[in-house]
Amino acid sequence: MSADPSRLENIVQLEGLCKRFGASEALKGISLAIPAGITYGLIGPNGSGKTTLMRILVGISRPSAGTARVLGRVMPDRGAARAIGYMTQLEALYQDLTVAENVSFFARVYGLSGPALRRRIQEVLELVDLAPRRASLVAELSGGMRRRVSLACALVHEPRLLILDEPTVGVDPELRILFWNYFARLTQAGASIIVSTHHLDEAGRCDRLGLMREGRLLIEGAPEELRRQAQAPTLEDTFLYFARRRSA
Amino acid sequence: MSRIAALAVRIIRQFLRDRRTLALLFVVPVVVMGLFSYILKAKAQPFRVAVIAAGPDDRRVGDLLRELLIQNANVEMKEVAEPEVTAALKDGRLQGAIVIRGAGMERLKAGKPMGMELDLEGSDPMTSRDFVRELQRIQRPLLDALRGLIFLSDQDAQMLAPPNLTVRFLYGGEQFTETDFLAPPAMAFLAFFFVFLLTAVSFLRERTQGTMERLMASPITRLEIICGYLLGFLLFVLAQTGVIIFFILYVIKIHYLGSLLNILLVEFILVIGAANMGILFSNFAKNEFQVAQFIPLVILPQVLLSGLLWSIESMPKALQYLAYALPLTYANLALRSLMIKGLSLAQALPELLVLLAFALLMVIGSVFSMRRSLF
Repeated sequence: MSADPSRLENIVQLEGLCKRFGASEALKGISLAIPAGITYGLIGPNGSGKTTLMRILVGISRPSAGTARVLGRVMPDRGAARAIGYMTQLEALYQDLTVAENVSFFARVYGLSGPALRRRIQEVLELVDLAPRRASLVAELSGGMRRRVSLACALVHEPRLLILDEPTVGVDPELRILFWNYFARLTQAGASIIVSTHHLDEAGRCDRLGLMREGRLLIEGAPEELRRQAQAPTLEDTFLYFARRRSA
Repeated sequence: MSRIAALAVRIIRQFLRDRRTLALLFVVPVVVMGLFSYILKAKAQPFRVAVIAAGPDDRRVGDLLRELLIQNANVEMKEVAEPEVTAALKDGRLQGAIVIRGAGMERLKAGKPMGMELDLEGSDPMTSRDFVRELQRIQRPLLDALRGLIFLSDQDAQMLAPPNLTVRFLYGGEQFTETDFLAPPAMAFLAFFFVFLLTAVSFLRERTQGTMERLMASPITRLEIICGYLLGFLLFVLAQTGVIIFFILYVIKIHYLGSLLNILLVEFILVIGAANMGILFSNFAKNEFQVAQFIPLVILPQVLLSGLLWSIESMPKALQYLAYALPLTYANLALRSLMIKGLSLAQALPELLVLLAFALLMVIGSVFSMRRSLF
């Protein structure tokens, strides 16, 4: 394993990853390598283990068996936290603070300060098109704007790996397109993104996809590749094809 | 009508499903009323007093007074020599001491009053006043008994002068009232109450709105979270203490000794404990409503038992043990020592150490409880 994590080929490396909650198994042995610099989509229905997997990747959940390496470190590892950005399904913002105050708080938690802090807050608010609303209280914003603030908070410390748990759930189609444009800009700048969704139309914008169901990875690969393998006209049919093949 | 019924049925359903609220609804009133009646009905603890004859001539009157007190007042007689009185008042062996002087029979026959010097510990004004009242009530039976002893004719008995009673206070004084007694613990209680509730609510929010999850994924450590919280809260608590102190000193004008810095130190330690207790307890609440339910569970017993409303010494023995298991008790003891008795920090050290231990325990508990989110 290379000492310099930026030279890593795979930003995430999972081996036989299992997670049990009491009697129920949320993850049943997942092995997967995710190369750096791409947008990786985790697709699957609710309860398929996407969130559990992501919580292990950001280090707030401990695997029951197997290993999860993120940026070359076996998780959970606090040392990796600085290089990871995490956006949960909840907005996870302080309603009684302004947009800029929220972003600034999380930036400082990640160790930013001084002119660098001010510069990053401005940059990240411009990226999510919220610079004019920086002084607005979060409680006064629309749901879509709050989602963008939440994304800004996850981005502010320039993480090399972004883990986004259903960032577009409950978001209108226009804003969804906007979000995916942000993601494209981020990967162009060298970041890696792991994003979960159950909008299959979004899956097509990922460089690679992992189809999850009942705690297992059914199949993974580039969207086109998967579709060809399934001989399906759409990604929706592709997903159904692999889901049925598994249960058969 | 059916709409009203629908609403009522829904509320009843929700109540029935929330076992904890239901239990509180019925258990808390019973416990509180029980405690109240127990404390109020319980026979007051006897007043620890010594009757000391200054000279050999005074022994007869001393014995007489001792007997009368045992018969007519709620007292526990102690044997303490005159030079030791102050020390005994300080260490709690005595709450009061009566020294009889100039009570030789010849002097009394001549119509000269005896001297009766009452030394009181004085930090609890209610106890002090009750005893002074009892002692005054006993003057008359004492004179009657003396009359019998000296075999004076009724006419001569008119000449028997009532004793010359002087009252001295170790702490406090005559002008010392319940407000003076109540102010120090009220201050501790207010700080404890607000800090506990506010940290519990803000931590609960932190978890329900998902920001705790975000913080847990960040490089921040649990200890940093706690220290950050404390620093933020401390600013407001110390400001609150400042306002309370200003109010009780300059508006209510209470009796007060000791240095402001010492008071702030006690508050500081108490607040560390209260804040971390709030963090720890927020784990047991699913919403703000359930946090509010901690008031009867955590706050009310401390109001009743920590010596805020009445001194711990005056409570039934069984409840005294309970009182010494409550953190606020030690803050109250420490603050009364500092503010009423004017003792030094070193003399209040035992209470401060218990408070410190409580704070430490709560810090460990809250750090550990945050770990639970790492599952």
